[in-house]
Formats: sequence, C-alpha cells, structure tokens
Amino acid sequence: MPRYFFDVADGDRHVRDEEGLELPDGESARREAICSLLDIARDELPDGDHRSFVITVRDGDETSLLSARLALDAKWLAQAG
Amino acid sequence: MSDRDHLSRLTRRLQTNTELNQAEIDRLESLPLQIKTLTRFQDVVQEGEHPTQSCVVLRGWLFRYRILESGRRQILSFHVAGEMPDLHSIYLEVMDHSLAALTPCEVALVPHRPLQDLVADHPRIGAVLWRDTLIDAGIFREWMVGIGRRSAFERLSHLICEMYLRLARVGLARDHSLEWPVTRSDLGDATGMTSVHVTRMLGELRRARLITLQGSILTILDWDRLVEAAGFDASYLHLRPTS
Repeated sequence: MPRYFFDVADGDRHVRDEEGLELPDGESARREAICSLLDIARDELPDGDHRSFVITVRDGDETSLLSARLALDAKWLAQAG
Repeated sequence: MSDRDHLSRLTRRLQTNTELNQAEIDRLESLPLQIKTLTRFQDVVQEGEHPTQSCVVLRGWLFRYRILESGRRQILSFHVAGEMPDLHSIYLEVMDHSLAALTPCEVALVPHRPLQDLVADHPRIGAVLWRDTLIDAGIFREWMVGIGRRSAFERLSHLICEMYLRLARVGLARDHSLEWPVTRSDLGDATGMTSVHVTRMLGELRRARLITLQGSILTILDWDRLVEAAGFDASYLHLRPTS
C-alpha cells in the first residue's frame, strides 16, 4: 500500500508528518484528511470566532496531492442579549 | 507448564481486585482448559456465535470490537494477561461483539459447564466473578466518558495510565515503562479518532515530555503530570491496596 503524509496547520503551528500512513489509495487519504480535520476541530474549538485548519497530503516523493481546509467564522448578527 | 500454572495468572489477577482464600484459588486453578495460540487479528470468538467456553489471556493483548455496516471498526476494550474478556458468555448465549488477538497471543479456553458448576457450588466464587464483570463494566463507563467528553489528548493520556496500571498489577510493567503493541490505527479505532489525529496527539504527548515511544516500549516520563493531564482517577479499576 502506498504511504501518505499528512501535514497539519492549525493557524498557530504547522506540523510536518514524518511517519506517514499506509492507505489503500488516494480516496482513502482524502477521507482520512477530511475526517482528521473534524477531529482537530472538535478538540480545538470553540476557541475564538475565526479559526482554520488545513491538512496537506503528500506522497512519498514529496508531491503535494491534496489540500483540505476547514474554517470557522462566527459573528454576532444582533447585539448579544 | 501445568494447567494450574496457566490459571494462576487468572487467580493472581483476580486477587488484585478481590480477596481469595486458598480453597477458592485451588478450585479456580483446577478448572479444565485447552491452550490456544493466536496470530494478530485472529478471532477468538465472533459476533453472533454461541460460545461454549470462555478464555483467560495468558500472553499478549486481546481486544473486543464491533464492525459497523459501513466497515468501520470500534475497538471496545483491550485485555492483557490474567483477564477473562469473554467471561460474560457463560450466561449470555449469543456474542454481541467479537474478540480477537491484537498481538500474537496465548489463551486458555475454559469450558462453560465446569465454570457454571463451580459458580453454582461455590457462591463466593460466583460473587468474585460477578464482581469482575462489574469492574469490567466500570472500565467501559470510563471509556464512554472518554469518547464522549474528553479531548483527544486526555483520552490518549487516560488510556496509557489505565493500561500501565492493568499491566503493572500482574507484573508485566514496571518503572512506568510498558510494552505498547497498539498501532496508531488500533488506537484510533479504540479512542474514536483518525490515525492522523492519533499521530498528532502522540506527538503532543512527546513534546510535553509526558511519554517517549521507542520501538514498542512506551515510557511514562512523568506519571503525576500524565495523570493530571488525563484527569485520571484509578478508583474505577477497584484495585486492592498492595500489602
């Protein structure tokens, strides 16, 4: 199975994946990236009104295959009661 | 190794939770058994089966799990030497989950009939085994709290604290160091997160200088801080104070 690397940027920090993960195909890597964004968001939010998390998927040849971004934008629409 | 020696793993482990007298130890260790070795991911018993025996873990790690229709797997618990992960099947006819080897394992299979006879003849042994399944249920409750409400960082820290104590009580871990055969994918399926997030959290635990992982040896660098980070309170394991 090919190995995919998932670099995570959470606004404050960019963490490069050195270990990688063996997955059957690109579609599995895409799913892993998106589901991981949900996990990260669950842990990190709520923390402010504007956050974004980005996962970039690389293959073993350092080619960036996919970028997935999850963003939170919260704003008041009326004066808070 | 005689059958008695094999089952002494069970009685020694039971005594970390409950007091047993010598007659009770003798009876439990005299149960008939059959030794079976398992390879990684080999099932001991599968969901839907009607088992006629329960197993005692002698060596290695087992896990209980369910596979959803989507193919996704949830690991429900891990089990180490001296534990009986499918003890409940002596009274519940149909398995509602599966039990498999996480590592190469050795188990002792104990037929239900003599186990049921033992419980019927010796109510105190029945109470000891009942207590054991109640503690088991307590561990499930703690996992439920973790999956529902703890952060990923707390969940992983909590699991490491729990497995260390469960291994240490049977002499399989000491000095805050333990054999850790759980892959990131297994950990993700046990704690309800993706492998990528597990990798991220293990990195955080290392950066916080709480643990190190070298090969399959996990060392807890600062037990008190790990306990604090996890919000870990060992009372749900109901360990007896060691004399």
